[in-house]
Amino acid sequence: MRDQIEAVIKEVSSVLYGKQEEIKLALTCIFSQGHLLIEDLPGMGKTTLAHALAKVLGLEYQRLQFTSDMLPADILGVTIFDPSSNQFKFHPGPVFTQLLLADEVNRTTPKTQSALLEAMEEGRVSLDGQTHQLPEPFFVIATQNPVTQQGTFPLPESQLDRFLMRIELGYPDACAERELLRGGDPRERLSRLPAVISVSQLQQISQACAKVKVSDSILDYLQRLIAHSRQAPEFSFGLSPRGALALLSASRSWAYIEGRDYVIPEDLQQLLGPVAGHRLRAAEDIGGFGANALIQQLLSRVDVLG
Amino acid sequence: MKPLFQLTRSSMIWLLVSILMVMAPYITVVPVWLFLLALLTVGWRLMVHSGRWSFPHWSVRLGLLLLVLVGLLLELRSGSVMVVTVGLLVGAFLLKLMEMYHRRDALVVLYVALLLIVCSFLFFQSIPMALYSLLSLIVVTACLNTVYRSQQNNDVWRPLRRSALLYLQALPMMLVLFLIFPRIGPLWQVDMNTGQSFTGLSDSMSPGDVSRLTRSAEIAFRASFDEQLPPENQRYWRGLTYDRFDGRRWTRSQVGADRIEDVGSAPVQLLNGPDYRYQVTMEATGQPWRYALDVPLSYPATMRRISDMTLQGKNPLMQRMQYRLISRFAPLQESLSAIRVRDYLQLPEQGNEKARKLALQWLSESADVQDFSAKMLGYFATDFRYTLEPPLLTQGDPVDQFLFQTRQGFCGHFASAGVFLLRSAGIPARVVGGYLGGELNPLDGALTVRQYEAHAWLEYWDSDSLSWHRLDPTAVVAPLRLEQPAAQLFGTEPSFLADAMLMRNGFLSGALLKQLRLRYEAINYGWHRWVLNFHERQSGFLQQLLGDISVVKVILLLLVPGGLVLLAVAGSLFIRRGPRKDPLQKALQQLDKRLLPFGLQRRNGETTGHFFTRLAVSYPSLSDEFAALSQCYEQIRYAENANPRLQQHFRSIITRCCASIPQRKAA
Repeated sequence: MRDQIEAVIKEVSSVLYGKQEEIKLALTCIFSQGHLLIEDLPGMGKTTLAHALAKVLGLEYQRLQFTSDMLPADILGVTIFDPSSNQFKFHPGPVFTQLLLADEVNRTTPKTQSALLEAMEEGRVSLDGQTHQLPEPFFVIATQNPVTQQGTFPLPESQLDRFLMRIELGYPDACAERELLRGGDPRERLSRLPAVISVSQLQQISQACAKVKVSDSILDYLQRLIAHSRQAPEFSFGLSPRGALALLSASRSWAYIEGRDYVIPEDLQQLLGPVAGHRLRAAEDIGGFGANALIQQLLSRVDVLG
Repeated sequence: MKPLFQLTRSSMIWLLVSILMVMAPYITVVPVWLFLLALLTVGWRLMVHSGRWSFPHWSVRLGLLLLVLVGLLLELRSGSVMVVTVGLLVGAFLLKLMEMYHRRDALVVLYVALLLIVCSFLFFQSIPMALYSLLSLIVVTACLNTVYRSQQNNDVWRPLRRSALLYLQALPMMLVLFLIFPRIGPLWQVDMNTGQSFTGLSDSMSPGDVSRLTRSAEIAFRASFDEQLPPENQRYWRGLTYDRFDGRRWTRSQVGADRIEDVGSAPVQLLNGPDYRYQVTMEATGQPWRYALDVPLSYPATMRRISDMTLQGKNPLMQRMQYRLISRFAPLQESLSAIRVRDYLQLPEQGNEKARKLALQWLSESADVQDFSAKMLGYFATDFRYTLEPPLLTQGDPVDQFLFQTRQGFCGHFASAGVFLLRSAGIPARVVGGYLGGELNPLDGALTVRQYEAHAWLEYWDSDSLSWHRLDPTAVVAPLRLEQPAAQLFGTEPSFLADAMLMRNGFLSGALLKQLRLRYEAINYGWHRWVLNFHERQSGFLQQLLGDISVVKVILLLLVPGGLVLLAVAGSLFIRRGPRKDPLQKALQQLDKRLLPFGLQRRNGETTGHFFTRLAVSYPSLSDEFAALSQCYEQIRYAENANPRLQQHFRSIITRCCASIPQRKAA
């Protein structure tokens, strides 16, 4: 299965140059069966990454562009009276898919944002007194613009918490950029990406990830990290138990992708930023920029060996 | 408004229990109105705690303080200074409750509570009291624990358990200190016995006095013998002799310095007989004399033996004391000087003419002193009755009245009349006060002598053999008194043990009760011997251990082991910071230490992987080793590979790396 993972990474890299690390993080998130939030400036390849992942993983996907006048029904679907059968009939919305690309999720109003909440947490949609199960697996890859951009409604903490990870792509390095500029339109290559693995294989990988060994020393280290995040005055609040579980699960998948069947502290250190960055908030951070800078400080303060 | 210190619920509960426990023993000591104050302050405090009332206004507090002071001043007129002082402490303790604003106020209250526990020993020293005090101590400590603990804990019993555990842990240390720490003499002494009266013999005796003692079952002293016990009819415990008679009362003469001369060094001639070695634990009497079995041959240096062969302490005995003696039975030989003979013949000029006449008549009829005394005993044996409740001798000539009219008396009457008769006949004689008998406690083999065993007999001086002889008229009037325990003999007399009904009933019924009483007395005796008066034994113990006791030695004895223990504790604290490190960790620390001079040690938050990679860059020659170390560590620690070879491998590589890294930075 490792070969398949490598093939996936290779294929995605062919449309998103020089972003191996981010691709691995995105895969980690999907293998841990979590939702991914990609945050960056427009035009950095957020959508490309989401798109490529959907195609390579062989998932049925829908893309949904969020706008400020969008309504929950636009996502979830509507119930319409069908005169021919004399019945109300449910027309599923774009959310009924295996991979939902929620583009620019923070451009819509909180009401619409929260329509995604149940779908992300429970994997189902309740509408007009009826519950509709979403397909299995169900992933949301949402992209958002930095909150400093105009026309954004920042996601509240409760909703950010639904995302296992938040990653940033950043500018490509010179070498990658040159390749990009030389290679022509990546959109075309994107449409030609083959499905490398099937849904059942994806599920197998997920199961294998969950079996990655976590030793007591790792748990100790994890607990020290959490405790420090809760006690240190730099943070206005610490990492929640859900956040800790997310970090552990993501670390397992990361270790699996790295080809190990056990977690090492480096995994935790690598993933603390993506997993905890949007869950923590610096005490002085009024605007809700997250605590990425503080993550490094946290890591340098907590001893690995105890 | 300053933030008030709010006691937690469990703290409040324990505080109340503490106050209750600490105050309880004082109920018989301090004035009763202090307990009303206790009710008031505790009640007020509770209301404050529940938020219904506020703290009393300063004027209220001042008023209460003044009231307490005035009350105590009034007490001072009737009570002893000590009681009033303790009352002041109790009052302050209670009043402080009303202004317990901060945690430190609560601490003050609890510290005073501890002081009050100590002070209760001024009044009570029994075993139950000691146990009770220990219990109070545990409760107060539990309360201290809750005061320091700001968090509310729902488990009310937890502090008690912790505090009990604390004292359990302190127990070995206490025992060690108790055994080896010498008792330092008090810096100040409190005269506890102001206004306190003792039951016992006094330095003057009228014939009825001794029978009054039979109302009391209080213990006079206890004696435990090293070897055999003296026979029952020989257990004469001498306390003091009376040599002056004013016609009604016998007193001790104060005349002449020789009266209290120390004749300890003078040769004492006694008949050969068994020596009795024993230890006496004497209760406080408030009197200078000490009890001894007949003639004491050897006695502690703190006592003197005066010419009448009784022991005198330097001071009145105000607290229980222990001493060792060796005794032998009289008669003892002594050549009396003319002055002493005159002293022992002293009688009032007039009075009791019939008795004098009788004595002279006997004298003319008898060949020697022995004969005379036999006549006298014969006289007593015929028509006299031994009773605890003799009729009062109200006439001007009490001896005559006793000898010829009432003919009923207790030992004091017989001894007094006997000496009168002897002296009238020109034979030197004296009344001896002391005790006869003693109850054997089979549990510890000690004799317990109680007040109701008080006895008076007489001694006369035989000018032929130049020796003193004991004569006990009671022996002929009531021979049973010598053979039986006094308790058995007097059991039916209504006035016997009139002051101790419980004891009396205990005598009359219930072997079990007696058994229990004996058991309790044995324990109590042991308690006094081994705990309260341990310092006497202890000094011997120390002497055996150290030779001469010097302050330096004692301090060394205390400081050296104490210092060693503290060093050990400090060392273990120093070495073991945090949980025990495993071998891997130790090996890493070893490497770290080696790298420290170069500033290459592992940083906080640096994983071993990063660490070894960094080192591989710094020491390219060792890069393989570092890679192996990294692998190894990962395998052991994170992959949980339990192969013991890995650990060995890891440590050996570390050792190798350490050897390869130069000690000092190359210049």
